[in-house]
Formats: sequence, C-alpha cells, structure tokens
Amino acid sequence: MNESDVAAEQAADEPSGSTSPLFWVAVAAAAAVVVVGVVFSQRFGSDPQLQASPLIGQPVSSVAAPLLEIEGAVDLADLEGEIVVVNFWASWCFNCRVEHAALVAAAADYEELGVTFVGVNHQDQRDNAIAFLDELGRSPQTLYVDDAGSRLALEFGILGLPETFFIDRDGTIVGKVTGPVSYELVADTIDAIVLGEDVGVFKTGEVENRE
Amino acid sequence: MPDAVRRFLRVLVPAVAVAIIIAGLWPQPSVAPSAAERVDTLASNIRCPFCGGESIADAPSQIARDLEAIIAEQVAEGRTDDEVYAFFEARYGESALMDPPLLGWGWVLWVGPLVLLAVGGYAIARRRRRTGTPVVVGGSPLLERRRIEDQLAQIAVDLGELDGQVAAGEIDDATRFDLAAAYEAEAAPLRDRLAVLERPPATTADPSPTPTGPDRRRALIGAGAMLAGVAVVSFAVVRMADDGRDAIEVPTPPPIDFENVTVDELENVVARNPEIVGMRLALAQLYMQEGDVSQAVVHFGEVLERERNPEALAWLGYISFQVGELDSARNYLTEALTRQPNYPQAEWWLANLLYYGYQEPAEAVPHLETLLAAPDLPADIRAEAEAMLEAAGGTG
Amino acid sequence: MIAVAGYASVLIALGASIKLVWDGWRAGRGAGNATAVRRDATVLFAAATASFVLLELAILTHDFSIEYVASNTATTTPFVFLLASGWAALEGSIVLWGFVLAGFTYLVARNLGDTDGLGTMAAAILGLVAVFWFGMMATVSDPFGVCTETLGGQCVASSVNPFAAAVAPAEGVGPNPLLQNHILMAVHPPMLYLGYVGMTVPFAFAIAALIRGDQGSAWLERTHRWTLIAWVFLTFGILLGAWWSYEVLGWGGYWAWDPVENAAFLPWLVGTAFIHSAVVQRRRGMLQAWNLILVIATFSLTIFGTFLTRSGTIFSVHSFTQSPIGPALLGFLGVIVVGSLALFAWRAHLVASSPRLDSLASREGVFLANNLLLALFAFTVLLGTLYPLLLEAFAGREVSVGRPFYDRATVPIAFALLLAMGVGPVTPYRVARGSVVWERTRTALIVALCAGAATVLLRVWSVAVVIVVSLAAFVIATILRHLGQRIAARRRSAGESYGAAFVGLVTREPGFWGGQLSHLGLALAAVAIATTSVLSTSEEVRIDVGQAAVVDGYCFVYEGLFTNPEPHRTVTGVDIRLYREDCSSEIGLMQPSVNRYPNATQPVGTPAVRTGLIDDVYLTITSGDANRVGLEILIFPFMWLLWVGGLLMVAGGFWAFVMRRRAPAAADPVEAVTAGDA
Repeated sequence: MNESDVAAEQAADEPSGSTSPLFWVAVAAAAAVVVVGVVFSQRFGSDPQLQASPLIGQPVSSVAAPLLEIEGAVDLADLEGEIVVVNFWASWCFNCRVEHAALVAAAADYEELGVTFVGVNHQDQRDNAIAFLDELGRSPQTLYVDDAGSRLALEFGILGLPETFFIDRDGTIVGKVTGPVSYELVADTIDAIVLGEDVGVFKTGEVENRE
Repeated sequence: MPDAVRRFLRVLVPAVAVAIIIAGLWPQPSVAPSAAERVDTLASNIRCPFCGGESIADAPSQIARDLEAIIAEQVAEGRTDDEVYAFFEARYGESALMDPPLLGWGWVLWVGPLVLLAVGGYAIARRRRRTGTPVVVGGSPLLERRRIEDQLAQIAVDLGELDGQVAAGEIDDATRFDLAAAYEAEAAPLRDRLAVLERPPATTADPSPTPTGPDRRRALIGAGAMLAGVAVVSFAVVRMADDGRDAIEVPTPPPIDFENVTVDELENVVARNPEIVGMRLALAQLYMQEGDVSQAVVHFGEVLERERNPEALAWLGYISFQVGELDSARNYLTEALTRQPNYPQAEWWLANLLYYGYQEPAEAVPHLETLLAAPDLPADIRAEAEAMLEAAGGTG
Repeated sequence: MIAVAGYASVLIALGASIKLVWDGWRAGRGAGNATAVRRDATVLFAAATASFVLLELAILTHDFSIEYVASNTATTTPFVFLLASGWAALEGSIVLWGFVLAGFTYLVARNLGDTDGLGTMAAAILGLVAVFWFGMMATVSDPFGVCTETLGGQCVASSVNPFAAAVAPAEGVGPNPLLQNHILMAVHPPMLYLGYVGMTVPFAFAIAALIRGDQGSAWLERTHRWTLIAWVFLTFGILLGAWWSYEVLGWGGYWAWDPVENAAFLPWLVGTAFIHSAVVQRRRGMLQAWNLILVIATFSLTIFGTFLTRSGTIFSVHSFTQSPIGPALLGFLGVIVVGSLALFAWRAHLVASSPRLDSLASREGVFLANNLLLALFAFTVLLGTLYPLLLEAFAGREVSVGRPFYDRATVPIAFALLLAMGVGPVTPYRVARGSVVWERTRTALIVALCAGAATVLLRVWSVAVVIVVSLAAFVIATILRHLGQRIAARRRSAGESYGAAFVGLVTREPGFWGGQLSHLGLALAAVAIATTSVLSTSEEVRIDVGQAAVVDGYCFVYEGLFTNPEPHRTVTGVDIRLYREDCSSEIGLMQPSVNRYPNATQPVGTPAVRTGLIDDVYLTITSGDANRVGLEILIFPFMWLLWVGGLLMVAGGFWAFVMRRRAPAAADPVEAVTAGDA
C-alpha cells in the first residue's frame, strides 16, 4: 500500500456509520472529566488544609493541663468570666517564633481588661520549650501549659501549629486563627469580642506538623 | 487397584480439607471484640488531622499515638464506638471519619461501582457474535479494502486454529462445525464487498450502503454542546456551593467596622472598658471624623494618661499643628516617631509641620526621604511627598 | 552562565518539538518522509539531554544564583543526594520527565521506516506532548529561573529571564529531609516517570491510528513492547514506593490509599487491563475500540496523577508544594481527554472491530471479565479519591474517604481477579467445554483446598486470609500443573531433557510465561497483603536501660543511646538487642533512630526492620532518653512475600519485554492453541 495514496484518499474520508454505544460512552466520560476539571480549577489558590472548625460557638471543654514551668494545673473551663486567648506553639515551629513577640505584647496590654493568655506547648520537649522562652522572652501574664497527651490539641481540633483560639467571657469558643498572629489581629479580635461582634475563622499562614 | 485408590483419594482429600475449613471457620458464637481490637478499628477509621490524610492507626507521628491513647482511654471508660466517633466529629467535623456513612451522598460511593458492574456486564453479554453482522463500511476504498483483507486474514487464522484445538481435545467436532460455519458466514459478505471494491474505480464510487454522515455530525455537535453545558452548569453549582460557605466562614481578619458604630455606642463600650486603649483610640478617631475635635482631644489625652501611645501622640501633634501650636505639635510628633520609628502618617505630618508651619523646607527633607523609603505608602501621599521634596530641594 | 545555557536548551527543545509536530504530521499525511522527523527527534533529544545535564551541573557546582539550586540543595548535601536533587523537587521532576520523553521519542523516531505513516504521525503526537512539556519548562516551571531577591539567606523571588540580575545566597536551603533520609526517595520517582512516560508511546500510536483511520492491529503490535516496559517500570516504581513507605516512614505500612498513591495505582490498573485486552485483539481481532479507550484512559490517568501530585489541590503527605503548573497540567489533561475522546467518537467506527465473541465461556470471556474487574477496581479507587472533592464542591461538606472504604470495596474485586487469574490461562479460546476446564483445574482445586485447610490448622481463623491463601495456591498450582503438562508434551514429542524443554517453552512463548510469572508474583503478594494486614501485632512498650520487654515471641533489651553526627544530619538512635522469647538466645542488634537536619524544624525517624522467614520485626522510637526508651513494636508475618512477589511481577513483565523480539512469528499450531498468549 502506498502511503501517499492513503493520504490522498483520506481527504475524501466522509464520516459515516451510526452512533454506537461506545460513542456515548466517550461522551459520558468526557462530561465526567469536564465536571472534575471544573471542580479542580475552583480549588487552585484555595488551601486544602483549611477547614471550617465545628467548634466555633461551642463551649470550651474542661481539661486540666499541667503548667509548663511550675507545679500546678490550669483548666480552661475555670477561666469563665475572662476573655481567654489560647495559643498553641512549640519550639520546633517556625511561625511560632514569628508571632511570639506579638503575643507577649498583647498579653501585657490586655491584662487589665481581663484577658488571659494561655500558651499551650504542643508536641514538644520540655527543655526545648523552656529554651525557646528563654531565648525569645516569656510573658509574665501568660499561663504556659504543657499539652500532655495532646488532649488540648484534640479539644480544640487543631490541624498544626501555630493556631490561636479566642474564648469569650461565657466560655464559648468564638474565634480561630490558623497560622501566625500579629499584634493588630489579636487586638482587633479581642476588641471585637468586647464589642460582641462575630469573629469567625481565618487564616494568616501555613501551619506546621511534626512527623 | 492404584487407580481406584487414586480416585478415592481425589474425593477424600478435598472432602477432608473442606471439612477442616468449615469446622475451623464456622462462625463462632459472636464474641464481643476486645478493647484492644476496638481501639484498632476506631483508630483506623478516624483520620489523624495532622498527618496528611492518614488514619490515626496508619500515621507515624507522635500525636497519632497520643490520639490512639485517648481513644483507648475512652474505650476503657465504656464509651460506645458511636460515642467515640461523635467525639472526634464534634472537634474536626465530618472529615474526621474515614469511612463515609451510607447516608446522604454516601450511597454514590457504593452504587457507582455497582452501576458500572451492571453496565459492563450487560455490554460484555452484548458483545456476543450476532448472525448476519453487517460488513463495516466506510473510509476510503483503499482503507476499507485493507480493513476487509485484515478481517479475512483473521478469519483464515481462526479457521486454521480450529483444527489444532480439535486435535488438542479442547473442542469437539460439533462445536468445530458450528464455529467454522459462523466464520464462513462472516467471511462471505466480506469477500463480496472486496470483489466490489476491486472492480474499476467507477463502480467503487458507489455510495456506501449506510451513509449516515449528517447523523454523526449532528451527534458530535450535540455532544460538544452537551459538554459545554455540563461545564457551565458544574461551574455555576460549584460557585454557588462556594458562596454558601463564604457566608459561614470569614476569610479575612475582622476589622472593627466603625462605620456602623455610632459615637454613643462606642462611648458606652469605652465607659465599660475604660482601660482598653484600642477602643478609646477608635472613639477619638471617630470624633475626629465627625469633626468634634475637642472630644477627640479629651480621649487622646485619656489614652496618653494610660500609655504613651504613638498613635495618640501623632494625632495630638496633628491637632496642635492645625490649631497653630507648633512647638507642642513638634514635640508630640517627634515622640510618636521615637516610640514607633516606622510610622509614615506621623512622618508626613511632621514634614508638613516643618515645611509649612516652621517654613523650614530643608529640615523637612530627611523626613520626606524616610517617608518615601516606606514601601507601602499610599499613592496620593507619595505623589504629594515627592512634589514637596522637589520643592524643598529647590529652595534648600 | 549555566542559567542562560540551560534556558537556551529548553527553548531549543521546545522549538524542535514544534518542528517535530509539523514534520510528523506532514509525513503522517503522506506529504513528507521520515528523515525530517528523525532529525527533529534527534535535536529534541540532544537539547533535553543538555537541559538535564546543565541542571545537574548547576547543582554540583553549587550555582545558587539559580533559584532551584538555592532552594533545593546545599553545599553540605552529600553527592548522591545532590545528584538526586536534580529531579527530586518540582521543576527538576519536570526536567527529568521531559528528558525521558525526549529519549523515548528519539527511540521511536530512530525505528521509523521511510514511508511509515503511522509511525511519523505517532511521532507528531509525541512531539505535541513534548511541546506542552517544554513549554511548561519555558514558562511556569522554569528550572533555570535566576534568583532575583533574597531574604534571610533564602531566595524569595526568581525570574524566567536568564539574563536578569542575579543574586546568589551564600548557602542553599538543602533538600527536603524526607529525601535526604533515604536514597530510595531518589530512585522511586524516576521509575514512576519512566512508567508514566512510557505509556505516552502507545497513546501516540493509538491516536495516530485514529487520525489515519488505520484499522487493524498495527499500532498494537508496534507498541506492545513499549506498553510492557512502561508497565514494568510502573510496577517497579509502585513497589519501590511501598518499600520506601515501609522502610523509611516508620508506621509499618506500605500502602495507605492516599490520593497520591492512588494516582500512581490508577494507570497501573488500567494499563494492566490494556495489556490483557491487547492479547485478545492480537489473537482474535476483537476489542479494537475498547483497547483505544483503555490506552487513552491509561495515558490520561498518568497526566492526572502528575497533576494531583503537583497541583497543591489535595492534601497529602506526598504532594509537592502549590505551584502555577497545576492549572497548566489541568488544562493539558482537559485537552488530552476531551480531544482524544472527540477523535474517538468521530473516527472509532472506522477502526472498530466487529463483535466476534463466540461464547462467554472461553478465554476471551475470562479476559473480558478481567477487564471488567480491573476497570471496576480503577473506577472504585478513582471514585474514592474524587468523592471528597466532589462533595465539597457540590454539597459544601468536608468528608474523608480512607482505608475502610477501599478495603471493603476492593477486596471482593481482588478475590474475583485472583479467581479469574487461576482459571483464565487454562481456558481454551472460542468455546470452553466445562469438562476441559474441570480437567485442567481439578488438581489445582484440591491443592487450593488443602492449602486453605493447612492455614486453618495453623490456627488462622481469619476468613479473608484463608480465602486468599486458597486462591493464591489455586493460581500457583494451575500455573505449575500447566507448565508440567507442557514440558511433558515437549519431552514426548521432541525427546528433550526437562531443562531443555523448560527453556524452550519459556523462550518460545515469552508473553504467556512471562505473564504467568507475574501472576505467580501477584498471588504471593496477595498472601503477604492478607497476612500483614490481618495477622500483624502492634504493641507500644517502654523499656528502662538494661531491662527487657517480651512481645509476641521476641525479647527486646534496651542497651543504650548513641549519637552520630554526620555532615548533613545528626543521627540519634538506640541499641536494642533482639532475643528469642527466652531472652537468652540472641538474634541480633536493632538500631531505630531519629535524624535531625540543619534546615528542617522537624526530625525524621527511621525505623529498624529485621526481616525473617516467618515474620518481620519492626521498631520505631516513640520517646526516650538514656535511661528509658519508648518503642512501637510491630510484627508482620510473611512480609518478605510482598517484595518477592512484586519483584516476580516485574521480572515476568521484563521477560516478556526482552524475549518478545526473539520469539518466532508463530509457534507450531497445536502448542500455540493450547498455550495461548497472556
């Protein structure tokens, strides 16, 4: 068979034959792919890690967490009547370093307003955690606790570090920040809670996980 | 005799084996799973939220071990499986469960494969040879001839292999006869068609027996339109679902919306929380917006009594400048900048004070330069500052 | 300077692939010949090689003015990992992919005949894929982008323009710790790529056949070996991935039904279905249209897998970071799928074969069942992978689909596949009489029942394990019996020795016997999957130094802590002496460890594994200091069967690939008919 003959004949090649079931299989497959493609295209730029927290609007659970550096324990449920900012951190977490100064400053500024800061040290070695505070400074107003057995992490449904939660004076979780916080963000959020406005969930950066 | 023994063993051995298997695996009176087994099952059905989508049982991290311990504890406390699942679902949402329930949309997961199985099975059953299969016609005569020759060659191979299969005892003579007849029946119309195609070109130009070109074209166009429709509809649906969620989630930090807060409301809040500086600053700025400078000054002053807040200092400097108290304005603004060196608004006010208030353009130059070095300066201020710098450079 | 040369090589490769599409298309329509196509492919291959070599050169010379080098390597990185960094991160993986694609295109072009319409058209399709790939390298995924801004010693901005003013950080960030932790991570992805890219060749020939309206099995015959070698690499890549998970990740698992793992598994499933249904077409002239669908699906799934891994749209432990190549790959996937399917819908009637199935009870029928089951398997996995995304998009609900679903949905399919694997190879073509099949499988059935009974007698009460062991025994016994019969027949007819008869058989029918070797491997692997998932034990213990803990017949003694500083990491591990249950007869020393890397915040653990004939002992550190160590102890029965079985599968495919060329065109009729082809 001469190839150029074939090519010449192909020009006159008219589509014919009836539409077979395979034709419709092909169309259905293409339709399915189009739907999936549209779904994926809507996900670009969104963060697969970000999830709505079902805990917003829920009362905080009673879990006693041991203090990190001294004897004693703290139960968040006992702090009712105060606005509580719960920040999860660890010495291995880079963004925890970034946000540390902001939290220290906010804890100092808002102490008089009846805001308590709780720094939950999560999945960390105690020595490393204390070295972290020695290096970056500890806030005298903040209660540093050890997240023994990851109990608090579970209670707050955290997905990585750092995450920060806001609890109003009634003991209800009202806000959540995924990623590092800034002073303004903490201040604005506390102000909003004081004003009785909605806070909600938002994200400022990546969270990290320990293998 | 050995033959009889062998035949006997052929029956006995499998019978004994089946008996053993049945006896061994006969459903035991169902024993409740031990606590450890329950923990294992629960841990492999709950997602470890920190571990990139792996279950608690599968994930290698320490937190997964902690969560496993918490599950074990809850099981020891006597919680039911459903209670444990609910505990995790309450904290991490539905996505904590790795085994979607059949409820709601979950049935898709189970019905989907079953539908495919049914459709596929039906399609295979239909692939059976049908008598009187029409010759596939179409394409150029050259291609069609090659196609028919290929098919005839295949049929020849099939017919040849039949002999081998009979010799090997795979098929009996009756089957062979039926198959050979079917193959011949398939070949006959092909040979006829081939004869037509091999006639001089004039006759090969005969229209094909089943010219359904427009049909196919219409089907293709229809399918294309359908795909476009599917794309548009799914896009719209996804968008709608997205919007629905945006209403629940607040994706940006919540700025306090002072636009909608009246001065009176804010006065109340500040009165209740006298020590909270942010509130008071906001109130003072609100007074400034409303033109009530005297009230603003009071509150900026209150702020300064509590702390040397740079924002309050800068605003008081600005107000002083506006009312002509140049020296105190200069003190306030300088202090604001000492306390917060990177403060473009204060820098701009100070430059204005030096340029227009003190009529000392040269002194304004370093402040303007600092100001212009700030990366996030609003465009209008930048333009004004550049113009002022140029003017100052000209005179000084 | 390397940046300029590298970017130039990418542009040359892009130009060559555009030219290849043009020349290939013309030649495929009969308007040109293969000479130009060969030349284009050679230039493409040379330029792609240059880009790969130049990237490696930049890495080895620590040219940190190139963003990729600065962000993925460091001067302290050991040589082997430096080399591997050339393809371990996102842009580098695209470079390697393009290099392999260019190499395969070159091989295809080299073997073109002068008036080879199908081959030149296929080369044009390969060129089209290359255009996309090198286009991506020239724009959104530029491996030679120069670093234009640094912050805190890290490169934070880069430019595609190779002449842009470059700033070089003093030191690079270094590779991802997971990569540095084990050399397997450097080998596993290239294997997968070779498999993925290999599937491009059958796809190109299938599309070329569709475009030209070529009926017949020419495209299938010409790509048979390509499909086999791609399948071999894909299988090997998946096997290495499983082994890496097991040896390195430290949770004792080798498969987690993670979206990215599924993405590699899907083309394997559909590719396997294709290899089987291609046999039916070559043998009986059936299923042409179905084979085209399978090839299109396999190739589309390889692109889907690439997309899923690199798009940042799915949260997985294996995924790369988010990058702009996601939308590009998604667009390409859409074009490929919709374009191929439209072409199929338009032209398939020209190439479709007529229905020639004589009976459902026949070898063809079993092949069809196999295809249905594999397609069902793939569909189920795909559905499970996409379900959370679809539900989130359309119902706004966030759910997960994990192991429980996959296990429940796929295990029955796997059982059915094993059964078909046992019956299929001895079922005659065309029409199978029950008596013939019964005669050929009876012995194997007895062996299977005895194996099941033996398992029960070994006090294994799991129904699933007994079923798998029985089915595996059935498959293996059928194969061995058939081999024995065929050898005996050869000895009778040719008077050969056992060895000569065996060698003669497997070299004359490499496709069939290679396939049977793969079946045997899969049966062994199935047993291992069942035993390791159902019969494993796991226990967490804490041991004081000098003390012992006894778990499942083994005794573990904690002897102490050690620390080894290495140039690129610090290894901290524990010495655990392993004894038999009595704590006096020693088996060996095990050293699970935790490794810290300078630029990584999190340590990476490495388990210690001791492989034995009966079971594997698997240790990971959960906590510990010099006085006390916490260990997770896992015992996996017959783990080695999985690796051996997997390697046998690879070996079977490889045998068929290597020997195929030497196989005679047609075996003598009686043998060919009874043996068939697999």
